[in-house]
Amino acid sequence: MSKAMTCFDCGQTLSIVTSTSWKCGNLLCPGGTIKYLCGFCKQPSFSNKLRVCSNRACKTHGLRRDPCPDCHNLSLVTIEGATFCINRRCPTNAQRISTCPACNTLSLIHLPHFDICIKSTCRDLLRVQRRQAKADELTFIAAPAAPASRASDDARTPAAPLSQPAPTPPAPAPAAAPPAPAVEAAERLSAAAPPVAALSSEEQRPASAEEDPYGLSQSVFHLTARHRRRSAADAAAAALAPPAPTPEEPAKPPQSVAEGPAAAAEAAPAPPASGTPTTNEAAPSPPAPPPPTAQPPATAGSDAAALLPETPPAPPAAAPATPEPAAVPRRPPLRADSEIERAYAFIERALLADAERALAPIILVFGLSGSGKSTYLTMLGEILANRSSKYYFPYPGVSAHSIHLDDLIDRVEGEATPEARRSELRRRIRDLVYEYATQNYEEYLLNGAWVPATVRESGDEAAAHSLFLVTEIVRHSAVLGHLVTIETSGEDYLEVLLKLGKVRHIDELSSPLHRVLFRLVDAATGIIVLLDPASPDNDRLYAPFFRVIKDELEGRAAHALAQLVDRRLQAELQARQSEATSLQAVLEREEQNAQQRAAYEAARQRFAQDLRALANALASTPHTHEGVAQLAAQHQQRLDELELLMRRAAPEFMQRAEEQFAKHGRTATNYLLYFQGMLQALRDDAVFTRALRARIELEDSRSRQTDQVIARVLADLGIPEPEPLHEAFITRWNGRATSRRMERLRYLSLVITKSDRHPIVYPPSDYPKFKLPTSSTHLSTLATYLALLGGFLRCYNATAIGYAVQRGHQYCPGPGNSFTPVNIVEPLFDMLLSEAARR
Amino acid sequence: MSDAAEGLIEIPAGPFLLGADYQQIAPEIRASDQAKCLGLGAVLAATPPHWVDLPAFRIMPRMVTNGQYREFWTAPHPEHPGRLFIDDYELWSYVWELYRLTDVRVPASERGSSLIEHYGGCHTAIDALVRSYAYEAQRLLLGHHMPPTEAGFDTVSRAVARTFAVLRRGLAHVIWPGTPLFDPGEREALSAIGSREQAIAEVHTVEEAVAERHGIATQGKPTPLQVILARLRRCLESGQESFSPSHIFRPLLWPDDSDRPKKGGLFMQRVPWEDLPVVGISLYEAAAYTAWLRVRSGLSFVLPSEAEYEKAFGWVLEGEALTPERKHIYPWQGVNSLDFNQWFSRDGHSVRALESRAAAYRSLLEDTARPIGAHKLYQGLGFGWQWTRERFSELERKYNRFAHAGCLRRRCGELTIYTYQDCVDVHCRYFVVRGAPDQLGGPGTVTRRFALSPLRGYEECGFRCVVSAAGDG
Repeated sequence: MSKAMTCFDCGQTLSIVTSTSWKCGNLLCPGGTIKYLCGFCKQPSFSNKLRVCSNRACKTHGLRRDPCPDCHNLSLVTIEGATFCINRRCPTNAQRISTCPACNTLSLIHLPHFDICIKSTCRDLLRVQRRQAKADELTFIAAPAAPASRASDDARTPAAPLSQPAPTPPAPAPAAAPPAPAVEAAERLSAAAPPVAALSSEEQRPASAEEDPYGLSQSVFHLTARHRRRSAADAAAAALAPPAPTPEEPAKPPQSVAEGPAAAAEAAPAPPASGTPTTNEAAPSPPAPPPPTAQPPATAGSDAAALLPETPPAPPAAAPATPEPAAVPRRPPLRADSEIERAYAFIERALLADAERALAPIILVFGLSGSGKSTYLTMLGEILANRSSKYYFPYPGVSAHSIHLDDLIDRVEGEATPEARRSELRRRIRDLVYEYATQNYEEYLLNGAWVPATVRESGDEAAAHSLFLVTEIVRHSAVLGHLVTIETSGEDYLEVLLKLGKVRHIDELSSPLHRVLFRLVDAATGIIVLLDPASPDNDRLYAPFFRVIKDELEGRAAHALAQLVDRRLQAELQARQSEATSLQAVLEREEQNAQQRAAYEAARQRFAQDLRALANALASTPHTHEGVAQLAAQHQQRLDELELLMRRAAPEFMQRAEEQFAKHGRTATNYLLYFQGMLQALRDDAVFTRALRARIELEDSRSRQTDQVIARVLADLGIPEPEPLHEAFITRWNGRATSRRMERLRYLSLVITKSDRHPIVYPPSDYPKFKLPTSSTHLSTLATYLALLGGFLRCYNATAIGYAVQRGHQYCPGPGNSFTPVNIVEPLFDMLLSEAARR
Repeated sequence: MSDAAEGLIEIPAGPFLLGADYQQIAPEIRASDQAKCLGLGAVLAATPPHWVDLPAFRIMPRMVTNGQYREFWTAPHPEHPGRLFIDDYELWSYVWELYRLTDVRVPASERGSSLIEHYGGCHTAIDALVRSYAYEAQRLLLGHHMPPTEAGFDTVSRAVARTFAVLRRGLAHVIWPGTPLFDPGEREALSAIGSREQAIAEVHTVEEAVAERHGIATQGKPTPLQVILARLRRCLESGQESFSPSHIFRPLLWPDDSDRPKKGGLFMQRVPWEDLPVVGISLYEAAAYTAWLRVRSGLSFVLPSEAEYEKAFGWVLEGEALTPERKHIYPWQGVNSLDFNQWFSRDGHSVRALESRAAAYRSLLEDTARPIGAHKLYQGLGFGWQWTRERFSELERKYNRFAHAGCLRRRCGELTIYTYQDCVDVHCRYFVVRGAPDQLGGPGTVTRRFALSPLRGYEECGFRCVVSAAGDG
């Protein structure tokens, strides 16, 4: 689907890229190859390179538009020495805009020496209107455009003379309806209210932590029309009382209420000023804090990219013989007290949470300084933008759609989201493919230069260098998922990397960016680790990281293996039973049954005897730590077995017991009571029988040489056996809770970048063995764990451009059409497709 | 001394498959690629398959060696005893006419911007080479290009103008057929130089400034610009007023004091320097070599086209049926199914390292050779890029030149066979290279192409020649 238009700079044909951007077929086009929709003439004539509209018919033709530090649009112009923003929704215009007498729209900007209208359709657009007398000026400025309900806000407006004419009401919306019904009025009020107000009703909050384990609330993330109406109704009821803005929320300029989104869409002339990291962030006042219900799961982390599938991850199938692990306390809510965290919270609500309130798979791109993250992400976006027309892209039907941030904000936070909030999100969230990558590709790679390293952000956040890059991936016109990456400096990754193994709680990290990275790592479904082949520190720095991942995944892997083994044992048992068709076999089976009955009775006697012995031991143990220690030394195996059997036989009881145990403290007395309680519960015949069967089952499985079954299972999965797993691996984790950290991780890819300048390890799967000797011990085990979890560990030799040519004293990219990116999208799509197949 | 005109291998005329499709390559190669995540698909995607007709040609079995090139570099002029062949204005004018450039857009130091190098007024390839280095020095030291009428405005810019005016004056006999026609700025610069010592001082100033900008004043590998400046300074120090191209533009990696090869170790025999491929020469110097061969042998030597290279190294000549199975992506395919990285681009398998072990180097040559009847074609992949005579169109992607309605074509059953034509667009600033160096990202294949500036020599780029109908013109 392409719409052909003509380039205003060179006359070549334009092909549409997004709804607001076009690509010129002339690579040498003087205005750059990417054109954006001019907000004034509505033509694809705005050159991001020249920052002017090339349409000679446009009234802004030749007028240079620079990035506005406040609204981050390319809308800062200088006319007659006065520099101002021509975005009507820019915060800088809030206090100096009024209704233009020519077009009757809220679009007249008052500048120190003249007034000027910035409405695109106004006949006086950008025409300097010099004020005749000071009295006129005062009169004009004083005309309030706010409804009466905002009188309290207006009272704060300085220099409002009392001798003004009657206030001019704001211009009605284009589709202004007759007298609005109550609901519509309520909606308007609701729209004007900050998001926190819209989320205040109780029914929008999750009922309990169990219903919303991550603290994600559907009503927060997907405000449907019904929700909005309900919120509006609440607001309407509240409107009976005088509207008092919350202290945290600055009063919204009344113009925004009256203007609506239509005017906003027009006022922003073209693309946001992406890639201009020097923008000043200090201007916008902090928006209202996110609602307390919008708490994403805690994670730990580094670079990230995420995919949102159409369906939430299915819960793992219940294991026939392995009980579910016990729950562990939930992580604390996200402290959204910084811009980057608020942006992350927004992304979680807008992109990462689907309709079922489950987190979508997240794929992180993790790389230290010099690993080529920016170049990698640029080429990733470039490939997603052009796909098979330029590059190798063997994913038919898959394409990337641009993310329209304002649409997302409208959908998630409502159309009345304050401009300050929008501006904040625009600073932190960019479209990966059509903004970030396109800009970097054209400015750097296509121009024979590398994408510069991302600047580390200073603590005062004066400049936004750490960005979330997002895009939407569709397959056959259906949304396949959303890709979310965070682009930040390698130094931040290094610090998080070093802390990953030490920090157990998110609050131990002081930097907001580190906390976000930490969360992303913990939330990741897959991690792409970019490795600089020239760095001698990879092994030293990453070994603890891989060890932590291995440790965190061990429990889940054990449970997964137990399930596989159980299934295999059952299948083998069924196969043996189905073989019993002949008379001889029937007789043998009868004999076996008789033997089993006898064995069952014997086992019953033994179990009862063991329990009696254990009860006596417990009864005779003094309630001291020394006594408990002595008991453990003599009966540890029986106690462990009892605990294990009870978890299988009476999981609810055990859960309550553990809670009580934890609640009242792990004293010696409680320890003894804990086991005595189990023995008490075993007096129930049903519980005893279940525990006995569990014991027989365990003994039976051992007798079937579980280790051999494990070996066969691993062989079937194609898992190499670096260190053979034994039954003890399963039993060690049987009934134990698995870690909640990295609980979704299934994929790990080591991407060795710059393979065009550095000798590779061939095959790349040997890279850990030769280049990461310390890490390889963890990685080999980790590969087994990941395979058991349905994922993989893979290594790739990657290059963003295929070959770098010497120019002067350094190696640089060659001409654009000679690029041969290798293994840039493959690590990502290998994970995504595997995940899709797994689902 | 081996004769380059001997041992040429005949490649018959006929259609062949240019490019390759990942789905049509040998299954064992595809399986290996998928198992090892090598990225072969990404490499092949840049050159989708097209059937093309190609006339017969003969190709050198090996890349041109240092020994062969040195023979050319020191060859006497056939008509002017006492002069070198390379000191002939006609030679450099001829190769310039073959591969003329006009305006070349190059990246500027300022982000997102570019500068234009003008070559429209150049008389010979040597003229273009001198101008190219002058442009590079200006970009590096001044951040912009000075017009030829500008003699400089401060110490550095004046030193740059004077240095390259001196160089151009010294090479005047291979730039102009008669009296030199300097630009006004050059005349002013030359008139400001009172003595040879001052000229040396100006060159030294530029050298120091370049070294400072490169940050390798005392250590590190010199850049081509630094090599040229150093050679110019040495020429001036030795009292020369007029320079031979052999003094300035000899292959970049040739040692200046002696071109004798390094000796091998006690138990290892090094590959003779004369037998190693010559690298670090520009397209024009390679073309000059082919011109010399033409003069010497009477055969129509020329640099190969992309299609000629690819057919020689990737097409099974035996057989009648036009099937994709006859297309190989490795020269050694058919002999074994090992992939590129088995020999190249990986730790411990550097070709450079093997140069000190002659036996291993010869073994590598044999293992990676392509058998053509009773003969073998060597160094098809992994021994360096190889210049072709074709220009690289920056507008072309995935051989979309064949989608042009004006392409000559014929139908052969289900196939459309195009008549292959070289890309000769004079506005193209790059030339295509084939063959792949030892070190590159992803696997090297006979279909893989890259683009290099014809005005520079590259450490990873050599060449070979063909005798082709294209050279008859």
